[in-house]
Amino acid sequence: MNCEQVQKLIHAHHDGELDVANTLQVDEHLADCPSCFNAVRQLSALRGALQDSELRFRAPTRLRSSITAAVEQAVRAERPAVITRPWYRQPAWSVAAVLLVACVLTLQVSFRRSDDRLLAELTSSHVRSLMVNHLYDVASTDQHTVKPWFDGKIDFAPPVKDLRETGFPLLGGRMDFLEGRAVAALVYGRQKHFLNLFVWPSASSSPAELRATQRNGYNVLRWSDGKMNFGLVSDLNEGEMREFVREWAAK
Amino acid sequence: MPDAAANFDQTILPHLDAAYNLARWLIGNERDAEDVTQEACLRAFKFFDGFRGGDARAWLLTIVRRSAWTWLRSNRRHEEAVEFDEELHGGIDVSASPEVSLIRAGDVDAVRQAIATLPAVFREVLVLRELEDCSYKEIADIAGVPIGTVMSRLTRARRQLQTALSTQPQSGGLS
Repeated sequence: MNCEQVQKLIHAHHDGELDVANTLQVDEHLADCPSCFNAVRQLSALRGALQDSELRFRAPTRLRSSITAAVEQAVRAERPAVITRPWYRQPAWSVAAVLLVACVLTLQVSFRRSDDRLLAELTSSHVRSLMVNHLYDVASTDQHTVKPWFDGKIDFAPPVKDLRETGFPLLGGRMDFLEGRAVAALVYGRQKHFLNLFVWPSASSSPAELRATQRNGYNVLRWSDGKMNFGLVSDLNEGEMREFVREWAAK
Repeated sequence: MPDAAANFDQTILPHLDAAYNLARWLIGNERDAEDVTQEACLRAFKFFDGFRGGDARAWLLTIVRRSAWTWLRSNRRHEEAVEFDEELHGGIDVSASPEVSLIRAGDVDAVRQAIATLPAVFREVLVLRELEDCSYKEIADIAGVPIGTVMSRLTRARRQLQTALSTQPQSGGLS
C-alpha cells in the first residue's frame, strides 16, 4: 500500500472498522512511514481531546419529567379509543409482544455471550467486505475455480456451489477471520444485493437447525450440516435468504 | 400487564441523554434542544407500535435527528440547513495529512467551540461517532446516508477540527 491508499483507510483503521487483511497492510505501512504514522497519532490525540465527559450534554431533569408527564397524558387521552378495539389490536399488547421478544433476545444474549460475539463478527465481516471493496480475493463465477483457490490457504476444503440457476450467482471467494480462525467466505449476488456465506468446520458432528437473527439491520442465518458451520449474512430479506439455504441444501 | 407508558419508560427513556446530546449539538442551544428532544420522544411514543425491537437507541436517534433537521431548516440561516453536497465539495481529500499539532486539545472550551463551528452534517457524524460511540453502520442508518458518505464526512470533520484546534489563539477564555 502507498501513502495515498493508507490515508484513505486510516480513519476506518482508527475506528476499528477495517477488515483484518487491510488492517495488517495499513499496520505494515505505518511501521515504515513516519508521515502516515504521524497522521494516526494526530487522530489519537484528537480522540483523546473528545473523550472529555464534559463534552457530552446530559438531558436536564426537567426535560425527563416533562416527557414522562406528556407521555402519561397521551396515554390517558388515548384510552377511550383503545377500549373499542379487539384486545390483540391494543397498542399495549403489541408493545408487550415487542418487549417479550426483546426480553427473550436479551436473555439469549446474556446466556450466550460467545454466540453474540460470533453474530457481531459475522455482521462486521460482511460490512467490512462491502466497505473497503474487498469482496473477493478470487473473482470467479465458476465453482471449479473458486474451490481449488482455497487449497493451501485454509486447513479445510469448503463446499462451493453455484446457485446461478436459482438466481444466486456465485461471484467469488475470499479468506476471512472469525473467532480467531481462518474461514472461507463465498460471495453470492442477488440482483443488487450481496450475500456473504461464511463456512468453517463444525466442532460437533450433529447438524444444527437454521437460526435467523438480525443485527444492525442485516439478516444473519446460521446452520450446520454436521460437517460445516454456515453463516449467511446480507441486507437481503429473510425470505429470499431462506430460499438460498433451501437451494444450497438441495444442490 | 405493564402499560404503554411503562414500556416506553423502560425501552426509550434510558437513551434520553444520547437523544438530548445529539439534539443539543445540532441545535446549539439548550431551550430549543429540549423542545426538539421532547417532540421527538413523543413522536417515538406515538409510533412505538412501529418499533420492531432491535436497537432502541438508534431508533430514537433517527427520530431525534429528523426533528432536529426540521428545526434547523425552519430556524437557521440557509447555509446551515442545506445538507452537505458531497459532489459539490469533493470526496475524501487524500493529500498528505496537514502537519498540525493539537495545541488546544486539553482545553474543553476550545474543543467545544471548534465542534460548534463545524457544518451540521459534519457535527452530527462526529458527535455520533466520538461521543455516542456509534458504528459506521449505525451512523449510516441514523443519518440515512451510505457508509461511504459517513466515512468521508467523518474524515472532513476531523480535518476541520484539527485545523481549528491548531490555529486558535493560545490565550484568552472562550466561554
